[in-house]
Amino acid sequence: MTQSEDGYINFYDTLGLEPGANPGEVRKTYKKKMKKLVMDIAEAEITESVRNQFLLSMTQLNAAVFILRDKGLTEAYWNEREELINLEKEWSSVPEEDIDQRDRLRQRFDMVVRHFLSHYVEEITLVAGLDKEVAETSNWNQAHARHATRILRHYRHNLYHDILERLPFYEVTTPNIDWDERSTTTSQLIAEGA
Amino acid sequence: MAKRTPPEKAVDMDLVARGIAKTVAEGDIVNFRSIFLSYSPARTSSSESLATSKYKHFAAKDGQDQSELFKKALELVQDEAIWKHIIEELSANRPPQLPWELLMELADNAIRLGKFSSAGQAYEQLRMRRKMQEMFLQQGLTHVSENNFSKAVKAFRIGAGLGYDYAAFPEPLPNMPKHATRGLVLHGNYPAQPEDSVALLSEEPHCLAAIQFILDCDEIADSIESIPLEYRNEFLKELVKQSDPEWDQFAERYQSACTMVEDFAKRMRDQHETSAGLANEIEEQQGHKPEAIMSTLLGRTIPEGEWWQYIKELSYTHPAGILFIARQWIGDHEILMPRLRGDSSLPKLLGLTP
Repeated sequence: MTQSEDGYINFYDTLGLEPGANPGEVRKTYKKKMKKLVMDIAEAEITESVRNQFLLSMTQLNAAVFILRDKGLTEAYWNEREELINLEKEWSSVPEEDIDQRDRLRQRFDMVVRHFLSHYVEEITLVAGLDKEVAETSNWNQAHARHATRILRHYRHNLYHDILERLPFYEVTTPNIDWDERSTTTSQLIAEGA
Repeated sequence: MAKRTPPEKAVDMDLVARGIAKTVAEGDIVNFRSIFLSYSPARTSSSESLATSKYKHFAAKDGQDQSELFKKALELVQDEAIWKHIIEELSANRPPQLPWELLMELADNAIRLGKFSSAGQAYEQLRMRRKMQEMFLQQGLTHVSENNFSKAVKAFRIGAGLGYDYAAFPEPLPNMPKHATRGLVLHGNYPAQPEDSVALLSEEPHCLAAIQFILDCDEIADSIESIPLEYRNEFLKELVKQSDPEWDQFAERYQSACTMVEDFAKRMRDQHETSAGLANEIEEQQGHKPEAIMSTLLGRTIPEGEWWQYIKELSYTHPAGILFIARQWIGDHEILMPRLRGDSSLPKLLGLTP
């Protein structure tokens, strides 16, 4: 995955398949991976963070099979993802002085990325859990869905944050941070009143 | 009829500069942002004025303009390039772009003044919050290894204060300690065996649980666990001191509550020997009110208060305190009472036992 694609969830990567894999391959790989995940869960010592991690993996596998086994859903998902990647490239290439154009692209990008992440990270993963084949393979139930809501929101914001990190600044002028100065300031702030 | 355009008002830019400087000096992210909003009184398009009493919170309080923080902030605001940018943003008809230099200064001042969530928001906007948080935690660990617990705890408290809750709805928000909620969760199940209560954990996990509970930030859980075992007790002692200025009063009340429980236990033993009614004995000892133990712990009585109400308030006022208590049925009442582990050095270290 290239740097500019980080954060745009890639369901082919989730299943370890090449883009364009056929539905048969998708189903087979999904079942294999889900079986391994269920065995891992059975063997692991469950803490809150381990449980959250397992639940996240489960939702991602469920979403991946739900989309990639269906040609129409796959096409829509892949097109939206490509559009987003191109939009980011376009926005990043606009010169800093062209404030109006940057702002237009920023607003459009923000709208598209928020929709993409909430749809493919949250909505689809929860909808996938209602599918008979997915529910049977993963033993997904309502309790999973209840716990997953918060975990998925957290994951979505983390992805958004990862994307944001590499985008041009718009709410703030581009900072020129001297990390050595920051280190000194950090020490001073700790020392004051300690 | 053609729409009449209202005449543009004159804005006192000196007042604007001083208003911005005040928000920066106070580490006040909310008012700092509000000055740049589309309806801000600092814009000529707004019909309101910064000079009115409605906006007096932007005016420096008595003597505040003589403080070093204010002077430095004003100097920064009046820097030629920054001031030019501010004027441009206040006259542009689009979302404002805040000057990073002021935002950074604001964040640092917020930390100085203990407004960690404000600092977190400013650093987050500068996309440097995680790195700043890591720097504070790293320095905290260095101070731990140098036995400088005062600085170490301060660094960890700042690190925890810069935490962000990305699962907040609808947007991520600064992480705020949820002691009252987590305290209830901690005591949610009645301990079937005395050993099941958190207060009777063995020393090592008890200390770790206390540190995690007080700092209450999932983001820094790994950093807390990397504090070497041999330093954790001292770290906890300093953490309690810094985060709870009224801990000593609580410790005194805790000791009184312990005395009440011991007296109560002694009388129960005596009662067993003399085989008189236990209810009479309780009445004699506490006026038929074992809740007095909870009131002593809290320092006030909650009228008709249940154990969980005491837990909520205690968790908020003395977070560390609820790691040394347990739920207990007495007759018809469920109360909270002190519970300590004899082989643990933590109670003595924190002044909970003489």
